[in-house]
Amino acid sequence: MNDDQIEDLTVPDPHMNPNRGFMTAMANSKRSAALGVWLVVVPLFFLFCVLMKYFFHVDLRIFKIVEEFFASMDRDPVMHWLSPLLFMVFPLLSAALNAMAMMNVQWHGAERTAVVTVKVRVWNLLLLLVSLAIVGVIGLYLITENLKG
Amino acid sequence: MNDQELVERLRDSPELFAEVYERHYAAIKKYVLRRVLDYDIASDITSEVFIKALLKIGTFRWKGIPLIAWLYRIAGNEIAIYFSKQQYETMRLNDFAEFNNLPGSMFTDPADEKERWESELRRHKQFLVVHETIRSMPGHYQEAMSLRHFEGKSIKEISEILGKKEGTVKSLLSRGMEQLKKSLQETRDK
Repeated sequence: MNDDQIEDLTVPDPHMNPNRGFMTAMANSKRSAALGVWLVVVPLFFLFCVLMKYFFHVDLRIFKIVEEFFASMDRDPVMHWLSPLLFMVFPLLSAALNAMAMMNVQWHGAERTAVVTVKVRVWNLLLLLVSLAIVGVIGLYLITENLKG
Repeated sequence: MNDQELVERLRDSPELFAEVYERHYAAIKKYVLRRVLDYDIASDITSEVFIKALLKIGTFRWKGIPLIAWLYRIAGNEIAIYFSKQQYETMRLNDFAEFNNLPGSMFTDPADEKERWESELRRHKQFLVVHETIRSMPGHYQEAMSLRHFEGKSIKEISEILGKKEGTVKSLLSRGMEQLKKSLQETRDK
């Protein structure tokens, strides 16, 4: 290419039109991830202690304290509502928030159509999976306990 | 309404930002496309440019520099971020609750626009060769050379966009052109 060819370079020039529509994420990604961590930290820690004590047979005092604390919560008439909140409601909420953070909604007013797209964000996906795992494990435990009883 | 009037009215009426978007979307989108080539990345970057402009418009002070020059500068910064990371994280308008009342007119791209872009790109082989060469230059040369050869901007316009003196811009372009010719010659010789 010579100097004139560079100076007179033709560039791609497609027609661009700003479109009438709106795209938004259903929830803020970073805030959902941060809140999600807080919502699952307690049940995650409890499950970690249970795993260490009963599966890996690591006999640390902290695991016994945690187990006794949650057992006493169940026996307390005021506090017993806290368990379902901590172990089911909060993880479900975390799962919902992080799922929404990955979903974008595009509204096309003229066609009255909503198009939902999913953009994978690593931390949101991780928290979604962890939250669902917690709900799954606790749910399974409750089912087996009920079947036994 | 000229740029100065628009900027002054924007402070009290943020919904007028839609006017900024309408006026300058095409130019900014084309610039970003010609720099990054990938349609989806360019769409993300263009969205980000207008989101950031929307957030900063309250602090924008009229100094005789056209609004489009400021938008080009934001675009250049976002492109530099993309090139440095080779991935791109965008904010979303929904992250900022105070802008939820804006008229919805942003950030959607029909599939046929992507096809048009890719078809255009295939027809401009010389552009792709020059693009690849410019892309290998240091960042400040890339910006100046792209604005000159892809956007057809004058020295004065480039100096307004980059916030550099005209003499500096001339020097960047002169050295950039030497590098470009040298690289093209080396490519031909291979």
